Amino acid sequence: MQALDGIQVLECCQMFAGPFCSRLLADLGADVLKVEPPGTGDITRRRGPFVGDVPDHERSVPFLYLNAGKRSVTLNLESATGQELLHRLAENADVLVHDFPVGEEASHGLDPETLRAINPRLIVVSITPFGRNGPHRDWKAYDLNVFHAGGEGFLQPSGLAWELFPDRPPVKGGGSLADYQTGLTAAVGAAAAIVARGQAEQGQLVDISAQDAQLSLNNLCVMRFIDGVAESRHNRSFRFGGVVPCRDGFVEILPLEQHQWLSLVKLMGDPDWAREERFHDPAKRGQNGEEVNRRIRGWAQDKTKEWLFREGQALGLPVGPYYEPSEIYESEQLKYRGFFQPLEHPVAGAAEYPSLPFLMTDTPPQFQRPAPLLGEHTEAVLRQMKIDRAERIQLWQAGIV
Amino acid sequence: MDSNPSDRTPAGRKPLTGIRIADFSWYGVGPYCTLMLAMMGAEVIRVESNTRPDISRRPHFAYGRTYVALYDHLLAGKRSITLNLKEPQARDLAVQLVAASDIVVENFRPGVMDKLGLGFQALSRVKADLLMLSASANGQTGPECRVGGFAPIFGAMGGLGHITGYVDGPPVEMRNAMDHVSGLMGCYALLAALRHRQQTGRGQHIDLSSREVAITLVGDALLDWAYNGHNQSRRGNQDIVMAPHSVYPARGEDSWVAIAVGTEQEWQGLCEAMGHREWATDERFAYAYRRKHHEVELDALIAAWTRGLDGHAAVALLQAHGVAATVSMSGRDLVHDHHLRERGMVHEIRDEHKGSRLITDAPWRFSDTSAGLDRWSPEVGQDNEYVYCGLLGLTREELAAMIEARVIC
Repeated sequence: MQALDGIQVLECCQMFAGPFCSRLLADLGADVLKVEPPGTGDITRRRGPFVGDVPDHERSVPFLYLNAGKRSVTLNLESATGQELLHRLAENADVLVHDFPVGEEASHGLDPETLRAINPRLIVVSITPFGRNGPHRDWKAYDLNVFHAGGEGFLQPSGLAWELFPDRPPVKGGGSLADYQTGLTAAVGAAAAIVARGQAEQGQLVDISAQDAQLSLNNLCVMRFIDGVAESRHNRSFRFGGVVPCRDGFVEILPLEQHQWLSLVKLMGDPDWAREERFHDPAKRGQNGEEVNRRIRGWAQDKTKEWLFREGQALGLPVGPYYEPSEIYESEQLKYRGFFQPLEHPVAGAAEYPSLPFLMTDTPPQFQRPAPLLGEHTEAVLRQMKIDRAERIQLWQAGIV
Repeated sequence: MDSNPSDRTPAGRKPLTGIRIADFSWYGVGPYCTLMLAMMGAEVIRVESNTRPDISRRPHFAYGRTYVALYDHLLAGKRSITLNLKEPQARDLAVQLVAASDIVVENFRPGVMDKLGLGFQALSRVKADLLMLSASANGQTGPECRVGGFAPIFGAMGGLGHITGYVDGPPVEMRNAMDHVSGLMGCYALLAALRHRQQTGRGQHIDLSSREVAITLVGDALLDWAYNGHNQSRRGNQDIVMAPHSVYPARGEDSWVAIAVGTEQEWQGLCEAMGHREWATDERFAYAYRRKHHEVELDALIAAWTRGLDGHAAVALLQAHGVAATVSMSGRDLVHDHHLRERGMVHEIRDEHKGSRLITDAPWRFSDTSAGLDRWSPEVGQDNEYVYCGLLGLTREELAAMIEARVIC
């Protein structure tokens, strides 16, 4: 039994944001049918890294991750027939997620008026970089642009990376953080609309602006500006602590509260310098952060990540290693939690996939299936729509599916 | 009263109108989750105490703040009651509050709620269909469940810190946004659980790990290890396929423009905008493949151009030519942005006690229900009378006695 059992989702999205939204829905039991352009499919399929470094539509690692749990049908939405087929699917769907710009909706059969006429109960989730209205509605943006337009880009890095390179450009979140955050925001919007429809029986249009999604998460910079503080990379570092280089990598040490500071002092073996007024007094310590850091970094140089983590945590010090992917897979805690779950893909093979970051006592999240092959379910979907074999062949030959 | 000049969504029913949340959370993760739920119309009753002021209620030297952040956005839209959970008599009041609520949210260290007699098992005896979200760094149980942490720590342990930063630089520490995205994930789980309860009448306990949230957001990099034994690392502002794809200096102090070119059409647009139409047919730059090979050269050419331009003007020009370009926006840029104002994402709210101020609103626009902030953040214990007397049926005398006894405190 899963939380979103029975929810039918149609996804017309590419790359990371929209697909991550419907991946989240699939992990909680929604039946997600991904609509891909015939021939090429979602352009992510062309994006590496590839399994075994063999470039192939079915071996894209980001595609495999973002589209686990879904079925795939190929439909040419630029053709009237393709749009008709989509509309027939939409008749019985609960949610349709798409990332077409507003200006291109009508020519692909995705305008809200048409969809609402076909199925008034349909929840349409529209994901765009800047939203469905406003002077920037038609602006273009990739993950890089969205991250920098959302408030956090301007503020990264702070701490050690900024200290070393204060004149460098601000840097985006690693991987495709903005897109992932947009996808999650869209999933929350979809879930809220599902809950709301539970009472109202009426679908609706959910307008997700990727910029709004970032800004909501990063709004402290706006709040601080209003309160008179123009936050930037040059003034937001922790006064002391943060990224600390050590023997085999880096750790994060945050002795922000007084009792945590005392734990750090103990871990460092109660050095004499820590007794000086300018380090012992919390208010003065903040003003001498550079000196504090010099001493912490000097001390940590010959210590390993694991030693700092284990011994520090034992004393109540907030400390955590900067783990690389390989180290994360070794985590005993994650094994205990069952966070990595095996999935076998017919072409890419088997691997331990990161699953959802929460447990649920009544409806545990689980993968329903691996990522789909391109158009893997086209045949079955067309047959279900009572389209006979001759017709299916015609549609394929004409490039509609 | 709410004062919202921009026409956003129809007023009236919100997705979570009628849902009440007993909010025991503090710091970042839990309060952001309940902020989102408050925006969706839930009545969020925040349980706090003067005996343990939340981080947003006090000065903090390590954050460089010597004043009390009264107007902390995280508390907006919520009600506040005081309750000193360390007092034995407080438990009974907390349980009564939960019995009158739909959802409990907490982010104490694992074990704390159990010790207070407010664990899921105990509370679901009082309310059979209770939905409870427990958010922690590593989960409620397991060998590392006691590892406390803050955003930079679970960002580090979750791989997001490692993968962020300059190619030749150290990892970058994640800040408040990491707390917030964890809270947002908690929100997703709760909404799905709410739907399940609508269908079946059943409640459940959700156990969220912020460290796992971080991993989920770099999951494709993790899978690269699983399939290929490859440890991905930092890439700065670059992309594995697209070029140009970076952040360039604009005219003025700390002013930057992010530009990314994904298609040949966008490349041509960039060449036109820069007044170098001839580059569109230059062999060095034909197709992303060649541009990637000449990326260093290309970045230098673009930077030389952007350096002479105002950032906003450069972006407007590039967008007019169909190029993905944005300013790396500061708080000032965001507050002054016409687009965000017109969308109503940034707007004024009027609070009867505090006057008017600017806020950032909900990140979803619903056509048929609405979402957004109605009121600003509460004073500590502002709603004691409403909750204790109005909802839980205490008399004024009983409330006064509890305050006297420092149970409600």
